[in-house]
Amino acid sequence: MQDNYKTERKGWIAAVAGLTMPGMGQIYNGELIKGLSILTIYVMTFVTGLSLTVHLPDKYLMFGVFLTLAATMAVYVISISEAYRKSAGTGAGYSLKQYNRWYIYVAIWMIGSLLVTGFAYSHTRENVIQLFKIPAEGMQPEIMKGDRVIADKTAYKRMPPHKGDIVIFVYPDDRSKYFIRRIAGLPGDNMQLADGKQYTVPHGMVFVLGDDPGKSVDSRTFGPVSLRDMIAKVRQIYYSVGPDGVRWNRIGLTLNRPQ
Amino acid sequence: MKKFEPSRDFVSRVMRDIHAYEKTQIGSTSIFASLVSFRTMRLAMSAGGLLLGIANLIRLYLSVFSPVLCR
Repeated sequence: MQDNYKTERKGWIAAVAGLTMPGMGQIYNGELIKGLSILTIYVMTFVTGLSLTVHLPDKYLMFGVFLTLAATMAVYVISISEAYRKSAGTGAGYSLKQYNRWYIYVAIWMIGSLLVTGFAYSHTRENVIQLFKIPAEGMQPEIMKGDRVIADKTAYKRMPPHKGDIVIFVYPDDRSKYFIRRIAGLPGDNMQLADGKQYTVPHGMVFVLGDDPGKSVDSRTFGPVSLRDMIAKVRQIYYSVGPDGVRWNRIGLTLNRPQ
Repeated sequence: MKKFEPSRDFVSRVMRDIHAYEKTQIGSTSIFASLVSFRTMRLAMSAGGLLLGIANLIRLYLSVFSPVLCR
């Protein structure tokens, strides 16, 4: 019955709706499936892009992250533009659909923008890629105070840890903090400590050391770290700022050179 | 040709359906139509959409570029 009600779709409303969420402009235009498909493409571009990025060689990691963000934003902008153009062509002959109601728009926005994209964002942060800022000097000269690094959270789901890897782990003495150190000993390795004592790394643990032993709190202090507490492998510096400003020569440096 | 005279019951049912239909149309368009009929509301809606759009882009950016401290 309602489908016989003729009205028009306004271009500016379609564009505003598209701004609130990718695909919402199409839903306003009466293209529910297309709108939901655009939202799916938007989310998948982001999640798949970052998931594929971690498979790139270290030196292209930063490029992959930027490309993914650019592609995701492009889907957003194109969806707004498409909704605007499509609504301009409908004239006054648009038949209202059952879902052309403000409260249904709000419901779709809450599910799509808050739940779906929110879940996608947190999923990638928790499971795929996360960025870290280094305020300490324990890993100098490889990682300087003020460096910002890209860490791969899928690394140790895909491969075992290696000696020389720079890793981020939960600090055993305060589990709210993250530490960055280099793996110096794998399970079963015999470590020669500074005091001359022999130490065998237990099963399921790794021995981590800072590159600057004088400034580093590491496994010499808090003991070996559980493999379960290792959250990411550090792969590239994406930004670096020191007392004299941005250190352009450090941006893009790859890590994990053999020790 | 014999003239068609609808029964009272038929007319009543048709009118009831028409009223019901009109009621749904008024209900569905009144809020939105009244909103967009004022220039201020149109501007407010545009500004709100723009703000949400900017917020979405910032949220997308921060979902990646909000580094966590790591000592």
